[in-house]
Amino acid sequence: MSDARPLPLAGIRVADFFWLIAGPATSRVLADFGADVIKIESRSRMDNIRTIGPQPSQPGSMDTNAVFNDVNTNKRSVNLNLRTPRGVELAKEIVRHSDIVTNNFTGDRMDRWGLGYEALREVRPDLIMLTMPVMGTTGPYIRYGAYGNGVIGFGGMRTNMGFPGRPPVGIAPLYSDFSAPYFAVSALMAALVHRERSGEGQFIDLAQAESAVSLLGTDVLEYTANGRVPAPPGNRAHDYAPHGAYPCWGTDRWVAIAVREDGDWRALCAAMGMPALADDARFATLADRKRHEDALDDVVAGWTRERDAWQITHVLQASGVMAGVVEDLEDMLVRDPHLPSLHFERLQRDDEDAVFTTHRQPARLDGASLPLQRAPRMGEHNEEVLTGLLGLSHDEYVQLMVDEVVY
Amino acid sequence: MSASSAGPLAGVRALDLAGEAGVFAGRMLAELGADVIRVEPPGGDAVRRRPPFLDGVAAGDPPVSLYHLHFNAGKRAITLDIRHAEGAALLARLVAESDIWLDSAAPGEMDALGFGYETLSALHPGLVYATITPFGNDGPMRDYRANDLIGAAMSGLMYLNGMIEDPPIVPGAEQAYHMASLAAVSAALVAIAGRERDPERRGRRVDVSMQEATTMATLQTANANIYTWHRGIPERQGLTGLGGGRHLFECRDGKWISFTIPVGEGPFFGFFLDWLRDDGVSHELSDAWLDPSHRAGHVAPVMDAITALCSKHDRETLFHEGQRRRLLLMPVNDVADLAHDPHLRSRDYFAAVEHPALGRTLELPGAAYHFSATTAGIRHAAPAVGEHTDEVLETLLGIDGNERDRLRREGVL
Repeated sequence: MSDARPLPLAGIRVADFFWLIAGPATSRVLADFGADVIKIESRSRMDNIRTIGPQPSQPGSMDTNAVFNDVNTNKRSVNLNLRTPRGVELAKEIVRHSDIVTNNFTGDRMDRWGLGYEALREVRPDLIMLTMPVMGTTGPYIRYGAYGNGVIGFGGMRTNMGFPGRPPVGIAPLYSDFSAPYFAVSALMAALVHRERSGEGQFIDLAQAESAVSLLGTDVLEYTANGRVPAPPGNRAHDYAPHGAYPCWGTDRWVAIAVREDGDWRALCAAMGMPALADDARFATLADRKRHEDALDDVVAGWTRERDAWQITHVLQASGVMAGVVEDLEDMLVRDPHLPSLHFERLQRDDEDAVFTTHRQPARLDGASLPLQRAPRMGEHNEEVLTGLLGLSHDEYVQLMVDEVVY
Repeated sequence: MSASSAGPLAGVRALDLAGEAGVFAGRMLAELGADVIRVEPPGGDAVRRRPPFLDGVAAGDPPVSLYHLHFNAGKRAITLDIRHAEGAALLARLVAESDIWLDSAAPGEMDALGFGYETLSALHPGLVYATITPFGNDGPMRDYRANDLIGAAMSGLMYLNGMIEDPPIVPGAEQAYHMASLAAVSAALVAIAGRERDPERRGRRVDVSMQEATTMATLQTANANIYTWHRGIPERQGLTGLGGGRHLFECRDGKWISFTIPVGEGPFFGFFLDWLRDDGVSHELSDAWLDPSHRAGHVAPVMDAITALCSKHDRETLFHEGQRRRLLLMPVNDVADLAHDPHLRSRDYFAAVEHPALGRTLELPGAAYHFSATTAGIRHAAPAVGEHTDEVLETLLGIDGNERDRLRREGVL
């Protein structure tokens, strides 16, 4: 059965030059689905995300921070100093044994190391190479950089939401770091399918900024076809009422409620203990409710305000009404009926006190969650990859460390 | 390198029965070159009727949904009553001709209709069967209902958006639906790639929970370990950027910019001080601020200096000058800015497609990736109701015109 089947990407190897978040989150998906992802980094140019993020205790270590560990599960780590010719040679040797090469450097960083696509396809003719800088590899902003917070702003994900007259804060920081990876995995898999069928590899240029624009839905057509920039809708929607976050008992507690069909409205009225409200002409149909939405929101908020957000969720859902707690992190890890056991997984190393909690991939395969291994320590697989995969002798390996090539 | 005009997924066929939670997944498959066939009930499905609508449609004509035009672009469309015995049999025959099944029905609904995974994989062992549900196919909330708002709320994403003094704000343009679709399409393609390499060419079942998919977007801002290690509960982010300072500033022209100095060691803070000096901006920053540990305890004077700089210049000037100085400045764009952006234009990001029935060209978001050997993109406008019913039944199932007429009379098509 499913237990006996290898993961779908077993046998696929990735020479992974990604760093920070969006890139490593991409190769994490590949690793979780069974690819052998070899993360190539170096103390001479460390993946900075090792130093940015929550630590179990202070001072932290480059191997224990939470964000690094979250986006690098199931990978191997090899240290190669790419400022040395021998380091570049060894990187090419790993590429020779790989199906996919990934990076998210801005500009021509890989070319300057001698690791651009044209150089690498000489080593591995059917190579698939993905590069995913913020702005892609062509165009006037080719050298422009940003973190996810800037990508979101460029991509229009701050002006398309919020309340009137408020600053355009938009979606929480770094959203594109977690959406762009799924674009990248889809593009890589499409290229892999093409390679399996034709024998031909290729280069993929993915602009993270464009992947953000691809998430704007109908707003682009609102402008290009209707000629208007839609006003940010707050928590309302064209075809729902009520639709929003309603205050609940406690501090900063909210429940989201969404009603579209008139039958759902009647069910909500009954669940609120106000069946007569269903006969109120102001709220009878969706069009009526949209016309009187301020009054409608006041009625609903009047009912939610003194009640517990989770209790409201369960009561309304039992009546078939769409409702859900606006969950904070404690809800997600403690009170949510699904996430603590079905989504989060705890991973602990034998020699560490702290238990690290990570996200499982949201896709289940044949009904099962994907197996997870802790992210690698810096250089954890140096010897294994260099003497195993590349076949160097132990003495050569030691000399590379002495020469700070393996560094 | 010259790319073939075919997409990398040429030869891959998907049956797209997804509702609004999954309709973006099929759009991505179409972008990547798959033959994506929307299977809709006679008269078309609810996705076609969602607002907002196209302006300028003649009075008396039915409204044209931008939602449909955007999310169904590049797909083919057939109508089929799958609750009718003959319609169900035709769908089963289409499954046998397809690689991917995509739906977002409630748990158990497709099983009840005879299109559960067990049934379809017995019929076609190579099928990749991808489903999106609000909370997964098991667990105590499996039967809870959710639209995008509920998905954003229960994933933890919504709580983080907005100013602390305002209510939490749902992300724009239905990001819970988008995250669910992204997780489903990427995993389905992993399964297809795996199938290509499997000597037995077996398919897989791929289940995505919208709640879990959207929770992935909280991995940094509300990392689980902030709570498990320190009992921290991140609040709404407001104007906060990385490192505790704010990163959104109003410019001289009233537009907003995202202003981030790269974190950690390195020469970047010096580049910022150079800019202040070159620009004659009055400030109280000394060379002591070059030390990141000093900066960490003295955020306010840095913010004051950025505020002063931004108030002197228009957004575009700041954007390009900041990037020239290797600082991470990005404009806070709206869709009008994007539609005219020279970088996106130079990369042919937007797809212009003819819509024959409307007699106009529509400009849509295109593919976020370029392939060197194949071509990604939106190839044609969203299809009319049943536009490809005849073509698909004729070419894939060999059903002739007389038979199709009969099926139409009986309400199957």
